[in-house]
Formats: sequence, structure tokens, C-alpha cells
Amino acid sequence: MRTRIFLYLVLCTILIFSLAPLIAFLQAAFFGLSEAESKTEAIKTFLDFFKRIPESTIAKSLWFTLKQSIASTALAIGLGLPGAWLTARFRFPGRKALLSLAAIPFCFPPILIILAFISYYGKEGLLSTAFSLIFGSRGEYRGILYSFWGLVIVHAFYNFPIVVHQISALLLRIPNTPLEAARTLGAKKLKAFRTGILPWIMPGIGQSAGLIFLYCFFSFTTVLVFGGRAGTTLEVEIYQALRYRSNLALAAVFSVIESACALLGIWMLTRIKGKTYRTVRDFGAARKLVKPKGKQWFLIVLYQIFIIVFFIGPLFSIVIEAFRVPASLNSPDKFGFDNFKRLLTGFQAPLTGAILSTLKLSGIAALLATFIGIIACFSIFFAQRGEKKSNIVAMMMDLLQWLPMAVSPAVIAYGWLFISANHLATSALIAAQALIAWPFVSRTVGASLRAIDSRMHEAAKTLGASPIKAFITIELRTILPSVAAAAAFAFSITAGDVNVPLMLGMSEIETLPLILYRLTAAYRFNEACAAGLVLGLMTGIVFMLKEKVIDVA
Amino acid sequence: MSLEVKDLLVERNSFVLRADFSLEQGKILVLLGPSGCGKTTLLRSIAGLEMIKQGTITLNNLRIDKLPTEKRHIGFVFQDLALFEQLRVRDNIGYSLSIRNEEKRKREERVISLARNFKIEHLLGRYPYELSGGERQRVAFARAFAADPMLMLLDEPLSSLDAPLRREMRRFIRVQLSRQQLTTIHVTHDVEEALDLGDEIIVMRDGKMISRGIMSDFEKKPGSGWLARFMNLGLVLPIIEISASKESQLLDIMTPEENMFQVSRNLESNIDNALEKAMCLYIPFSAIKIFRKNNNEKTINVKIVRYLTSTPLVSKLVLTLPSMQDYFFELPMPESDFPMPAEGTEIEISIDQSMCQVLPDIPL
Repeated sequence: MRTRIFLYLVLCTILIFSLAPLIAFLQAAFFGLSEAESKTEAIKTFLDFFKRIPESTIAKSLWFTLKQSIASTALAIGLGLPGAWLTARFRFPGRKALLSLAAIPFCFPPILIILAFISYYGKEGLLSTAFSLIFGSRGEYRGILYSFWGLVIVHAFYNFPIVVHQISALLLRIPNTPLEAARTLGAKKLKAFRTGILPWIMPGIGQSAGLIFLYCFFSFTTVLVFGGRAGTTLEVEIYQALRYRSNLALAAVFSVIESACALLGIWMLTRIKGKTYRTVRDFGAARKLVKPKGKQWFLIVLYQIFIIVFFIGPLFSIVIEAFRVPASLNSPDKFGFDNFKRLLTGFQAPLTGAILSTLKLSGIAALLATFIGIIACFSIFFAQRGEKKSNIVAMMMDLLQWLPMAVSPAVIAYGWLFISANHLATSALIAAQALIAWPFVSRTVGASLRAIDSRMHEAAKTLGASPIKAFITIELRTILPSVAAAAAFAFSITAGDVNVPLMLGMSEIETLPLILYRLTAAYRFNEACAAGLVLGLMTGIVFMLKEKVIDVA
Repeated sequence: MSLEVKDLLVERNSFVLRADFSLEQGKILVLLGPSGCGKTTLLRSIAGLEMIKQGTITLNNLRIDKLPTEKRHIGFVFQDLALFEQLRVRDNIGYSLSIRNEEKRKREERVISLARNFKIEHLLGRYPYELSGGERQRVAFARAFAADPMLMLLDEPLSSLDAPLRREMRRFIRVQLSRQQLTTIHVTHDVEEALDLGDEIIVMRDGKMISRGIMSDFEKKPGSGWLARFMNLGLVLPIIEISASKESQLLDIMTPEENMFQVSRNLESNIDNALEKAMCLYIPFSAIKIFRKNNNEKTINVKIVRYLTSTPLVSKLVLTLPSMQDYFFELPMPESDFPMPAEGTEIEISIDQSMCQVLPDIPL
């Protein structure tokens, strides 16, 4: 009984924390900020807004959002599947590195990847310079990067490591016997693959595709930088409605449409997820990797070269560009620390302040998110273990976990701004970022909590441990690594976020991603790379610390 | 010969498998051995699922070792059965027929006839995950039979079943295979299963075939203490001291508790060289008698650990040697009128020394 009251209390707190900004935003959007209007008038206003919104804008941006999300997802899957297959079948040098690329979307913020792509694929970028040196045709990529396909390529490259990682893990655990059984029954290689392997990995592919689709659907920074000429996504429309038109109602309508689509996607994703759990649960130990032979080596080397040239290259170019000082009237092209110096000491030198404020704000937001996430995942865990009446807590909490995937961060940011005392941007920023990040924490920790064999807890109890002692020695001990990973993850999300600070338009606070965005927008790419390197190092160090914690745990 | 495997060599990392054997049409050969001895690898090599380094495999006078798996005309039942979970039982059984583009009506007839044979007619519309362990086994067998294979390969398909069901399935498979006159290789690590199913048994160890025959062959000539222990053929005692004069046909052997035996030389090769290896004394169970003393026979003291009377058909005695209390052996309970000594007491057993053999502890 006491547990149930506690669980309901936790649920109510998280419910209020999650839904308050949404309600505040919608209330402000449809009923005005201060004066209370009658119910009928409110509904009339709401309907009026729908009529007034130019249909073409909504349809156009919705179509563009869907189009770019589908294309990006398809390309990411196409790029990732061969990698997944190779890493799940063969033992070769660079295999682990290929798998660890999956950390990039999590530990490097999108703005950094955008910068990497500009500095590599851009018209002054390394790749086009290399091409021009070889072929003498400078400016090959001028038309691609800032177009629909440029956007799709960036999204795909940012997300394909997720496919490699997830599908490879699945393939490693799928037994080879159904494929072999098909062969012994007379099926040729392709038919045997279609019967023995494909049905097992399809739910996994669907799940990865769903996640990538949702990420691309809500993509903001990338579209803002690359997609401008080709079109805008719903998320960018919301930003523009809020920042440039100050039209809350328009933003609200966009966000409602966006959320409806996202919810549909999430519903499909959860269905696929359930299926994946069912199939994977039955599998035994991971298969052994084999040494590649002949043609297989060729494929592996080809794939690795492709990844190095087109994916690792951009990341390296950040380092090179950060130290490259472009030629000016007084000096030729050279390498040095000038870009860093200019950011630290020159005119508009915000780097030190930005580093400190990013560390402070993201640190607090990440801590808050980790705290809420852990409380939430334990509540789900106990609610699922406990009596039937508690199941509603688990269900509600599970639904809340999908919130950041279904609601525009801009809406959350503005909602918190309306709630916070004196409309203080700093507290709104922390609360909004914590709200966006906590479900990632609860999902990461929850997964490792669910993976614990309940018999271990029972075994500890049979050996004389009290319930609390058993909890501390079994559950808590086991989830420590995932708590570290989740906290690092939360820090990376909050430290790399451009959307919320840009939306809140804080003049009093500069964060590193914000500087990065502004320097990029001002075409000060080398300085942007220098700031990006600092941001990358910051998130990289946090992820290294996480590994250390995991090792110790 | 239906199947001939000649000079087969398979290398995988540090593991080396060598095999050379043949099998008559319609016979069931059991590959018996502990885990990791290479029996599954051998089966997979015959099926073409494992690359072979050298050797030939001939099936019904056709060399198949260069053919891809799908052209070898073999049936394979996997340990995990490998049913296609996304297909209904009907489609699982008819899979090979659809690959061969069999006419739909014929295919259906064949599936139904097999299902009737395997008593799974009522399950044709179900998915594999809706079936019990025994039902899944039957589906896997029916699917393998549907391909009309020339050779059936069974890779411990019964290992996941509980004991009574396993026994029942064993008999059922035996009947089905005999009815079809299908040449079969069955892999197992279970001696009882091997004896029950096989016309012949090949025992494998560390990638080698160390012995071939039927039960009485193994009992007469186990060849090593390891095999006698593995197949539970008799009592295997370590030898503390062994001496033999060149002229004498008898070896003087001392085992624990200073039990002295006189055993005839059964090693053809130079005894001195063989003795450099660890040796043991093999006493077949048929050479041991309990509660019956015979002045000509050697007696040793053993301790009664337990009376196993729970099995209705066979009552057994679990015994141990007083100085080797972690070594147990079982003997069938003799029919006797006098009262049985209590558990924990020592009794004498008599041994016919002429049946004992000195063997290398592990296969040479």
C-alpha cells in the first residue's frame, strides 16, 4: 500500500513536470497570456486560427518533413545494413571501431556534425579541395550540400551507425540454423536468407528505421542550416512562427500536427519493439565471428574506405579546420592556435563564458534529468513487479517516456518560459532540457534493470540478504554502469542542444552550441570548428569518464 | 555402400577433425562422444555446412563434397530444430516441395501424408511457436523427410526433451527411419540413446574416431579406460604398480588398497613402451559378482553407498571403493534371499580376473 502511494506521488510529480509546459504553452497560444476568455470564444479562436493558417504552408512543410525523413531513413538503413552484416559475421581489424561509431550520434551534437560536413563537403571543404587538386574541377559539391539531398545525406550519415550497431547486435544473436535448414531443404543462398534470416531481422530494421525517422522528423538544426532553400520542416516552421512572427497560435497548430504524426510513428514503433523483444528473447548465445576470406576481405576493405572517406573524413576535418588559419591580406594560409585565441581574446570573445555556462547549465539539467529518470525507471520497475493496481503507473510512465519524441522542444521551452518566475530564460532552459533528456535516462537505466534476472534477487534473499540489502547488492550494483552511461548521454543531449537556447533567444547567456551556430551562420567556419572541437572534447571527456565509471563498477 | 567418407580433414582454428568410415544403405550409425569431440562438425561437413580441407564424401556412388548443400540430397534435423517460425507447420513441411516447384495438389497430398505419419495432422495450420517440444520435434522430422533425402543427418535433435518424451520419440524415430529404409547418422552424447537408436556406434574423442562397433564389441575391447568410463562398461581402477617378466603371460598389478590382480597380457605392442603412459585396470561388469564367493576368483572390498530401488525395471547398487570415495559405480542388484547389508557397510565382491584387461587410461 505504502509503495503504491509512493508510486502515485512520483507519477503525479513527473506528470506535472512533463505536462505543465505543454498546458502553459497551449493556454498562452489559444487563450492569450493574461486575460481569461469564455469557453465558446476560445473554441472560436481556435477554429479561426485553423482557417487563417495558409493551408499550403502546412501541407508543404508537412510534405517536406515526411519526404526528407523517409529519404534520410532509407539512406541510413541502406548505408548501415552492409556494415551490420560485416560486423556480425566477420572478425577483422577496425570492426570494434566501426561498431563504436554508433556512439557518435549520442556523444556529438548535431551542430558539430553539421559543421563537420560543411568543413569537409563545403565548397571550400577538404574533399572538394582534394577533388580539385586531383581533377581540377573545383566546386563539385556547391549545389549538393545546401539542398534537399544534402540534408538527406547529413541525416543519413549521422544516423547510419545506429543501424550498424543495432542490427549487428541482432544478427550476432540470430542462430544460423534456420538459414542452414533452408539450404539442406534445397533453397539457394538468397532464398535461404529470405527464409532463415530476414524474418528475424525485419523487426529490428523496423525499429531502427522508426527511431531514425522520428529523429529526422524532429530535426531542427540540420534543416535550419542545410534545408533552407529546399524547404522547411514543421520544427523549423514552429521556430519561425515563434521567433520571427511571434505567432503562438500558428506554432501551436504546427506542433499539434507534428505531435499527431509523431504519435502515429511512436505507436508503430512500439508495436515493432514488442515483436523484436519476442523474437530476440528466444535466442541463445552470440555466434562466433569468422575470419573473412577472399571476396569477403574485398567487401570489408571497400566498406571501411567508404566510411573513412565519407564519414570519418568530416570529423577529422573539424580538427584540421580548427587549427587552419585562412589566408588573409597580411599572411598566407597557415596552421596555429589563432582561431582559439580569437575566440578567447578577440572581439566578441565568448568562448570562456560559453564553456562555463554550458558546463553549468547542462550539468544541472543533466543531473536533474538523471535524477528524474532514475526515479521514473524504478517506479516503472516496481509498478510492473507489484500488484495489478500499480500497473497504471507503469503504463503512464511508459507513455511519458515518449514525450520528447512526440512534442517539439520549442514548445516545451516556451511552455517553461511562461511558467518560470519573471519569465527567466535560464530556469526555463534547464527545465526544458531536463524534460527532454530524462526519458533517455529512464529508458537506458530501465533496460538494464529489466535485464536483471529476478532469480538473482531471489538467490540473494535465500542467502540471507534483507530486501534492501538484496536490492543494493543486486539491482543497484548492476545498473550503476547504465546510470553512468545515461548521465553522460543526458549531458551530451543538453550540452549539444541548439534548439532550446535558440528558441529562448537568451541574450544574457551564451552556450557553446549557440556560439557554434552563430559562427557557422556568419561563415566563420574555422572559428566555429575551434569552438566545435572544444564542444566535442567536452562531450568526449564526459563519455570517457563514463567508461571509467563503468570499468570501476 | 550408401555413404563413404574417406580421409576427411576439417580444420577450424586449433581444432582438427579426421574421419574415415562408410555406411550401408538403410543403416543407422550413431556418432557418440563428449561435447566438443567433433561429432556435430563431422555431420555439418557431410551436409556441406562446414568447409573440408581434404577428403572425399560419396553418397550412393556420387561424390557430393564439391556440391553445395542444397544439391546434396540430405535431410538434416538440427539440435534447435531450426523451424521457420514465420511459416505455419504446413508451409514448414512443404518448404522443400515448394522449392522444387512441386504442383500444389501433390504438395498438399505429400504434406498431409507426412503429417499423418508423424501424427501432427491437427497442427498443420499452427505456427511453430504455438507447439509443444514434442510436436516441434515431429514437425522438424516431417520437414526433413519431405525432401526425400538419400541420407538423414540428426544432430542431437532430442536433447531438449524431458526423459520420458525423449524415450518415446526415440522409438518413434527408429520406426520411421526403418520404415523408410533411410541411411542415417545420428549424433548424441547419450550412451542410452546411442544403444537404443544405432545399428552401429562410432565413438569420437578430440576430433578422432577412436572406436567403432556394437555394445558387445565395446564391452569386450574398450581399448581405453576413458571409453570404458564414458560408456559405463565396467569398473576402471588406477594402477599403482605393474610388473611383468618377459617370459610370463601374466602381469602382476597393484591397484589402490594394495589389491593385487593377475591379468593376462592383452597389449600386442611392446608392454614397456605402453606402460610409460598412464594405465588402468578394466574390470567389465560381467566379471563382477556380488554376495557370491568363489575361491578361484579375486575379491575386493567395496562400500555400499545406496540402494537404487526407485526404477521399477532395474534395481541397482551404488558402490564405492573405501579409499576412492569420490569414485562411484553401479551394479545391478543380485537376486538374493539373505538380508541386504545396510548402506555404508563394506562388502566383498568377487572378480573373474581372466576377463580383466590392462588398458591405457586415455586412447592411444
